[in-house]
Amino acid sequence: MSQVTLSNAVKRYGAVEVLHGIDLEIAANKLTVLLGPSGCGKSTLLRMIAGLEDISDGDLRIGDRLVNDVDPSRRGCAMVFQNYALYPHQTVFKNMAFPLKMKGTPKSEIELKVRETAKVLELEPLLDRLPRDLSGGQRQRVAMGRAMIRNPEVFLFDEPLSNLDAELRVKMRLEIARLQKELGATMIFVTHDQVEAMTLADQVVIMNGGHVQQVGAPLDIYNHPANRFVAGFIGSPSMNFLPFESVRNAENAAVVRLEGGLEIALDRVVPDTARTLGVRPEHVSVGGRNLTIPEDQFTTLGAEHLGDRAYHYVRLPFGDITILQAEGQALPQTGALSLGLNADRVHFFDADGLALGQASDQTTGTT
Amino acid sequence: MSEKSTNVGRSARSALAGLALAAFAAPVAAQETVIEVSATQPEYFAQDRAIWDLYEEENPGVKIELFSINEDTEAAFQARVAAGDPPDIRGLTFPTRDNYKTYVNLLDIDFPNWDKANYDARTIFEQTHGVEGYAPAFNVQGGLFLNLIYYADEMEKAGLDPKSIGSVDDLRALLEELKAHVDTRDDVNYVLDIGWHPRFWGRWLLEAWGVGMGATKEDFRRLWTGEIAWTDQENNPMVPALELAKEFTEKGYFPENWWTRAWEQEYEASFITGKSIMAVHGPWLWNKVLAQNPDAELDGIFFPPNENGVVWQDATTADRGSALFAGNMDDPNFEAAKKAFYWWTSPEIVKLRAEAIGYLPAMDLTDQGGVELQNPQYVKLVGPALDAGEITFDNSLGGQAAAGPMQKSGTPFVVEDNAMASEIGAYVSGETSLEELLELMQARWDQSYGQ
Amino acid sequence: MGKASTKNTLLIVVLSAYCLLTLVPFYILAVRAFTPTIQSTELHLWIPERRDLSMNSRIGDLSTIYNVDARAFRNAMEIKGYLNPQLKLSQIAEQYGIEPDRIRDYLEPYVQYNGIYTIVNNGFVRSLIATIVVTGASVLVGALLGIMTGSALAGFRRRWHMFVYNSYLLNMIIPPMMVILPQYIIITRYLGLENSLMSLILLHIKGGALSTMVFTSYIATVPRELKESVAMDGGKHYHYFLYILLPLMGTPFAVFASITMPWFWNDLLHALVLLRPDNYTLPAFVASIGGTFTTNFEAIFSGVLLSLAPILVVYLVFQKLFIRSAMAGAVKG
Repeated sequence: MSQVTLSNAVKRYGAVEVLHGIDLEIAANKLTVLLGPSGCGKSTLLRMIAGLEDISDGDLRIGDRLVNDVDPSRRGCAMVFQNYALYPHQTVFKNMAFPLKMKGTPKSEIELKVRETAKVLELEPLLDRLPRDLSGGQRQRVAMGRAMIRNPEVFLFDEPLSNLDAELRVKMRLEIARLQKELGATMIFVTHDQVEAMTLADQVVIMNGGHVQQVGAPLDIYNHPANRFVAGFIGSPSMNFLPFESVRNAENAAVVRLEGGLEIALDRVVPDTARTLGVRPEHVSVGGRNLTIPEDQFTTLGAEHLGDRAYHYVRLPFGDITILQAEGQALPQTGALSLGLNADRVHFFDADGLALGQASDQTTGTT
Repeated sequence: MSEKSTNVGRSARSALAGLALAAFAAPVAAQETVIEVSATQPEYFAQDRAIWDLYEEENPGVKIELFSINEDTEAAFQARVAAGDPPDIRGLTFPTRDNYKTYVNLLDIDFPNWDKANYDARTIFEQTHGVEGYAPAFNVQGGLFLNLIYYADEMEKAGLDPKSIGSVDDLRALLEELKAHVDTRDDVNYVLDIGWHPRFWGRWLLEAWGVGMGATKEDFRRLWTGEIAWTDQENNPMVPALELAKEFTEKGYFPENWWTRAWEQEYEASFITGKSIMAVHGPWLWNKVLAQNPDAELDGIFFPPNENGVVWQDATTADRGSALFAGNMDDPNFEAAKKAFYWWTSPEIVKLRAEAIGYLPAMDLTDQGGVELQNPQYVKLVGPALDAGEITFDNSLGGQAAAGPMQKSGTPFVVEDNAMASEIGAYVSGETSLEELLELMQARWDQSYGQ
Repeated sequence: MGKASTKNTLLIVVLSAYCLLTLVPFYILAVRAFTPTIQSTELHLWIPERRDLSMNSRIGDLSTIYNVDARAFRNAMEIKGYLNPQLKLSQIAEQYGIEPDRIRDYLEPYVQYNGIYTIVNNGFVRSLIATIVVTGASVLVGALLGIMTGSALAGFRRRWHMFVYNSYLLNMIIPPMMVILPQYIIITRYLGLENSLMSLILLHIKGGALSTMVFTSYIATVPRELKESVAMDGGKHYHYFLYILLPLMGTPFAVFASITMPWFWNDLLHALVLLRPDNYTLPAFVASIGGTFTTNFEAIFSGVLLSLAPILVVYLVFQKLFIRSAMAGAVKG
C-alpha cells in the first residue's frame, strides 16, 4: 500500500485557479478524510489523484511513482462515486466483474474473485440483480465491491454516503471503517460532513478556498484548530467568537475588553497580537465570573433541546453566543447574566485569523 | 442509360465506393442494350408488353424495359427527366410550348414514318402551338369519338330504341320516356349519367354537342381564335350546347348536382353498377363495364348529327404521341433507341397496337391489309357508322387546339379547368344567367388568349 | 371504494371505445382490400359477393382492369407468339385448343381476390424486402450516427457543438422537394447509385438533426461518472461506448425509431425518383399500381393493407422495448 504525495499541486480551469499549490502527504494504510465546505476543492483534489482531472502544475506521487501523466486505470486507484456509477443494465455480478474483464482476467478467475468479494460485502444473494432492484446501502456495497476487486493501492471515496439516510449512513460508516482495518488499505474519503470525518478518519485534511487549512488527527483538529476557519468549521454548533478591543495582561491573568465595553477576566495570559477570543459552547458555563452582562445588554434568542442537554442562544452587543447546558438548567430570567469560560479551552486568533498560543505547534499549510 | 458518367463522376465514384456498400449498388448492366420505355398508358401495360416482346424476339441482345407512369408517379418522373436522366422512349406525351425541347425534333433525324400518317404530322405541332419546324412527338391514334352508351337489354325492357334517334329532338323524346321508366324503377337512379371532368367538358363535350346542334368545327375555331366574341349569344357555337346541358339538368335527365360528381368514383361507378341505363361516354367507360361485367349487353349511339350529317370527332394532334428524349442523343444506345422507336411507330406495329387497344389508327394501313378492330365500341358503333357512310366525321382541329399558338404561357384554358365546374353548375341550376357565364368565359379568354 | 371502482370501469369503457374507434379505419381498409373496385363507392362492412369469371371476358380487359399479367398468362397456357388482347377467353380456348377450365382455374383467383393477387404477383415481396432493408438500415445506421454525434455533443459544452447542431437543424427544415434534383444528380452521377437502395439509405441518414436531438438530450442525462468509472476500471472510450452507452440507448432508440420508421417506411417521393420499378419500395410500388383513367382500388387497398401489416408487427415489438426502457430506473437511487 502506498502513500500519496502532492507537491505544489495546482488546478486551473482556463484562467481560474481552483487549487492553489497544495502540499500534502496522505499517509499509507490510513483513512484520510478531505473535509471542507462545498466548493473548497476537495472533490477536485480527489479527482486529480484519480486521474480524472489533469494536474495543471506541481507533482503527484503515488508511492514513489510520479503519476501526473499516468492513465487513471494505471495509477492503482479505485474510486467509489457519490452516485455509485453502477452500470444500470448490468447485474451486480457483471458490475463487479467489469474491471477484471477490462484487464482481460480469465473467466474462471473473475468468477472466483467476484464471489470472494461478494462474500466479504455480504452481496452473495444479490449477484444476479440489477442495480435498480437494490437498496441504497446495497448499491453502495456493490460500488465498494467493484472498487475492491481490483486490489487497488489507494481507495478514493467521493462523498459516498451522502445519498443514504441517517441510519444507514452510520452503519456504512462503520462498515467502511471495518473494511479499512481489514484491508489495511490507503483510503481517501471526501465529505462535507464533519461527523463522518471525525468518526472515520485517521487523518483529516481541512480545505477551504482551494487551500489546505489544517491536517491532523480528528481530535487534534477539534482541540487545536489552526485558524479561525477550522475552529468555526469543526464543531457543531460552531465555536463562539468574541472580537475584542484591547487586553490588559498581568501575571497569569488578563482582562479582555470586548467591543462595546464589556470585559472578560481570565486567569491566564493573552497573546499580545490576539484580536478574537474563541470558545466552544460546552466551555461556557452560566453562573461563572469571567463575564457579567447587565440585564439590559442581552436578549435570549431561544434554545435547542437535545434531550440530555440544550444549546441556548443569547444575543449580546458584539454578537451572538451559544451556551451548552445540561437539560433542565435555564438561563436566569431576571438580573444580569454571568458566564464562566474554561480558561484552558479558550482560543485566541490574531487579526489574520491565525490561532495563537498552544495550538500554534499544530498549524500547517496556512497562508 | 447506365453508361452515362463523366470523369468527375468516375473519380468521385471510386472515392466513394467504400461508402456505397457495393451490395446495394445497382448491378452493372450486362452486354445487352437496354431501352427504357414508358407504356402508352398504365392500363395498356400488358398490351404494350406483348408487342414489345415481339421486338425483343426479333432483336436478340436488346432488352425493352417497359414501365408505366400514372398520376401518382408523374411528378417523380418529371423530376427524373429534369435531372437529366430520362428514359429512352416516352409512350404517351403531351408536348407543350414549355417542354417540347425536352424531346428530339423528329424532323431533324431520319424518321421514316411521316408519310404514312393520315394527317399532317410534320406540322401538327406548329398548327397547335405555333412553333415552326419542330415535331416533338408522333401520334398514331385517331381522334376519339364521343357517344352515348346504354344497356341494350334495359332499353328494350323500357320499350325504347336509341338506334332510331336521328335528331336532338328525337333524343329529347327518348330521354323523356326513359325518365318516366327510371321513375318506376327502385334500382335505377339516373336517366343520362354524367359527372364533371375538366377535359371532357372543356375540350370535347361542349364542342361535340355544339356541332350536333348545328355549328361547325370552323365556328369553334373562330370562337377560340377571337373572331367570334364569347359574349355574342347569336353566334357563339357553344351556346346551344350550354343551353341543352341546362335543359337536361332542369328536366332531371342529368343527375342532380352532376358538376360535383367525381368522374371515376361516382359517375362511372354508378353506370357500371347499373344505377343508370344510359351515360355519356368518354374514352374508357365501355372497356370498364365489360371488364367488370363481360356479359353486359352494351351498345351506343353518337350524339345526333347536324343537318349536314356531320358528327364531331377529335382531331389527331401531337398530344398522346410517342417521343424520344433530346437529352439522350449523345448516349451510346441512342441509335438502338431510335431503331426501336421507328419500329414502334411503323405501320406494321401500329396495326397491332390499334387492334390491341381498340382505336382507329391515324395512319394509312392499306399496305398492312387494313386494321381489324375487335373492340366492342368499334364493332357495335364506330365500324357500322363508317360502313354505312350516312354520317361524316369532322376530325379537323378543335377550337382549343387551334388557338394553342395564341395562348400565353402559363395561363389556364377557358373551360378545361376544375374552377369552371361550379360556374357551369351555377348556370345550369339557374343561379346565374347565360350572360354572366359567357362574360366569365370571355374574361378568361381575354386573360389567356387576348392581346 | 365503490365510487372509485365505478370511475375505473367508466375509464376502461371509454378508453376501450376510443381504441376500437381508432381501429375502425383499419377494419374498413381490410374489407376494402377484398371489395371489387366497381363497388368501392359504397361502404361495405363485410366482403361483398362477387360474380364468377366469365369466359366472355377479354384478356386485354382483364389486364387493364384486373392487372392480369398477360405474359405470365401466356406462359402458363403455353401460348407461343403474340396473343391479341381483344380475344375473349372463350375464343382463346377455342383458337389455341386449351381446356376452358384450365383458363378459368388460372384466372379465377385474379377475379376473386384481385387486390391481394395483383399485389403479390406484381412484386409485393420484392418491394417488402427492399422496404425492410431501407428502413432497417436507415434506422440502425441513423441511430448509430446519432448516438456517436450525441455523445460528442451532449451538454453543448463548446461553442462549435451548438454550431454543428444548428447546421443539422437547418438541413432538417429544407423541404426534400426543393433539393431533390441536385440530390438526384449527386446520387446518380457522382455516387453511381442509380436505382440503388443505398441511395435512399444515404438520404435518410443525412442531416441527422432528429437523431442528434433525441440522443443528445438523452445522453446528457447519463451521469459522466459512468464514463469516468469505466476509465478508472481500465476501459477505453470504445469500451464505454460499446458496453455502457449503447445498451442504455434503448429508450431514445425506441423514440427515434418510432418517429422515423414511418417516415422511412412511407417515403414515396425519393423512392419514385431514385428507384426503378424493379427496385421499388412499398409506397412507390403501391403508387405505381394505379392507371391514368382507371384505378384498381382493390389492389391499392390491398397494397396499403399488406404494407401496414409488417410495420404493425415492428411496432408491437418496439412497444415492448419502449415500455421496458421506460421502466428501467435512472442511475441514481
